[in-house]
Amino acid sequence: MRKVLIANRGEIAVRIARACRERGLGVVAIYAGPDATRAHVLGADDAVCLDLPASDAGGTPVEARPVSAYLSVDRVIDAARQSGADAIHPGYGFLSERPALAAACADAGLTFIGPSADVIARMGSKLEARRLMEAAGVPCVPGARPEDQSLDALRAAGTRVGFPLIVKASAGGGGKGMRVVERAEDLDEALGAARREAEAAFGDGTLYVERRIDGARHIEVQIIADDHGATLHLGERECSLQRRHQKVIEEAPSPVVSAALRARMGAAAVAAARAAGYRNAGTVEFLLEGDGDEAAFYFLEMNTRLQVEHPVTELVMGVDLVHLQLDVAEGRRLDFSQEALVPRGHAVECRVYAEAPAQGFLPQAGPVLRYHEPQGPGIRVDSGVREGDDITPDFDPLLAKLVTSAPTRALALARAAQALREFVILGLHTNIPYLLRVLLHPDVQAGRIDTGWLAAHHDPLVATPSADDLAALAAVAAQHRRLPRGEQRGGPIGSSRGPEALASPWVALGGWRG
Amino acid sequence: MAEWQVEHRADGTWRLTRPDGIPRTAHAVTGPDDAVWVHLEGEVLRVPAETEARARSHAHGHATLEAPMPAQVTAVLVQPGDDVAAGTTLLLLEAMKMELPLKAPTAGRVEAIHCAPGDRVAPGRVLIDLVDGEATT
Repeated sequence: MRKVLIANRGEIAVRIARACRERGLGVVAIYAGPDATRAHVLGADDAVCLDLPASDAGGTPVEARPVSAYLSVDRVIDAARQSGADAIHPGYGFLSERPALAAACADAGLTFIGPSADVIARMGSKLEARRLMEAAGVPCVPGARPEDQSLDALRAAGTRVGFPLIVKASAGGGGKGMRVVERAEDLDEALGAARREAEAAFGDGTLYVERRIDGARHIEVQIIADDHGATLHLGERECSLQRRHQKVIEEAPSPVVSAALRARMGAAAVAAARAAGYRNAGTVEFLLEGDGDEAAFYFLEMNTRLQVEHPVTELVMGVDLVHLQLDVAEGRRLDFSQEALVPRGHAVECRVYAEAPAQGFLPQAGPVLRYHEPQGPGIRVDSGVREGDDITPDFDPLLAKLVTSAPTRALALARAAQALREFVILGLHTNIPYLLRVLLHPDVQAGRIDTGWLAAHHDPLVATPSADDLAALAAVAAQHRRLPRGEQRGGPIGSSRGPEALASPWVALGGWRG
Repeated sequence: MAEWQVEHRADGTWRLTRPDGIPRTAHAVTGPDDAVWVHLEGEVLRVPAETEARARSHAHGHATLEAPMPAQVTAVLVQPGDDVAAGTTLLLLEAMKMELPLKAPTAGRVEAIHCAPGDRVAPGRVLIDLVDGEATT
């Protein structure tokens, strides 16, 4: 491998490019539409524009949906050829779990940094993955997966499983084709809706039903496997703080996973990876019911790619997962033993999204007028955003990941909260105030969380600032308005602003009392 | 609670202080749509441009008093034409179950009142126009 094309954008493309450079590998970026001046493009040796030429796009210079360019296997492979890349890293999302990209790489003689196309396809079918896991002795959520896919057979299966249950699409992901059914009389409607949604989204209406496990945690185990027979696990990540199946805050280790439980879940994850014939980095997701050494856990699915939340594992296990992915892709041997992989300290990741929690988490677009990342011991920010960028509604609203690590969980949480307070993003709303309210909640501090926790605590978490904070914010806004107009827009924090800026006296506020 | 003192620092940030509290640092910037964005320790407020346009339409010597946050007007204590001293409470707002008095920043005459008891007001909404003392004499 000499030159890696990164088939992604945003923070993950920047993070992968950094690892490539650390190894002396060349970096090729791809971009589409409004991304031409984003960080992942400017930091690369080469950047290939994936937009269709105006003539092919029906006379419009830019496609209606720039995201479709990142989803085109043909254009990504062409970009690799054009730029002389000999390997492709898919990142997460986009084409990362499409067997077609891995297969096209194999056909084009390019190294795909991930598992083979047939493994991706096998684990991408939730139904096939579960059959494989059951055969390998990995516990699965009690449920039914009838061969007969008629509504009658599915209804009978649902009745056997009992309520509440979840209807899921075999080809599903991201909550699509998924329905929670509380009562028997709602089952038919849910089956119909899930089937239509799955057919529309994945072209495959195959469904199955599972018991809904209330109060469960989402715990996932990172695994890595090389070409020389080693399959190792790197401990768990606690991802229970999720909203509509989208993770918000993750941590490692889980506050409730004991060393014995970690060993049991790790062994199950390794068995799952071996059953799948897995190579490279992957994640086995489980639902955990209860806690303690003997707690029950159930296989959910396997993600055949790098995860968004991989940094928390890196920080507690002392590894670099992207480097390990590159090692495996280059055919190297993983040179450590399972016994050496013990978590040290604690790490927390907060996903900073461009969204307005107070408006139903509506994705936000706008110019990044101010962008100032926190710095300090134990603080890592993986970001694809810079001051001056224009955030458009074309892509996933993830702006950056704030990851903190510390010797203890309490300090990692406190460090995350303090770093969030210092993370300045102005020009569009983000979920930072929401993340702060979540982190500071006594339940989160105590680790008393499950996958339903965020939904159950919605109202206080999306509250507006306290009256005292609002008075202070409004006081600053009022004084800021009085600055000369040029100075109101100003340069970045810390830039020189001329002598008139220094002359500003102490100004007493006009009568606001909090 | 005491008033916040606001100081513009050489690096462009704002320092907030009051006698009983720890100093706090805020960042503010005006966007292309003239909205002001303020960041204070993880909390963010956007104050739309409406306020500024309104303020600019007044001649020198006039002041407008704005709602600093989403609030409900609970009482209007003055009438147009009233002469008021600096610090006079002009109206009462309620937000987050707390009562917030809106006071005259300077002595002057109430020119117009743009709200009534019971109104829900958004941040930046102009509530009162005040002609300051020097302009009236």
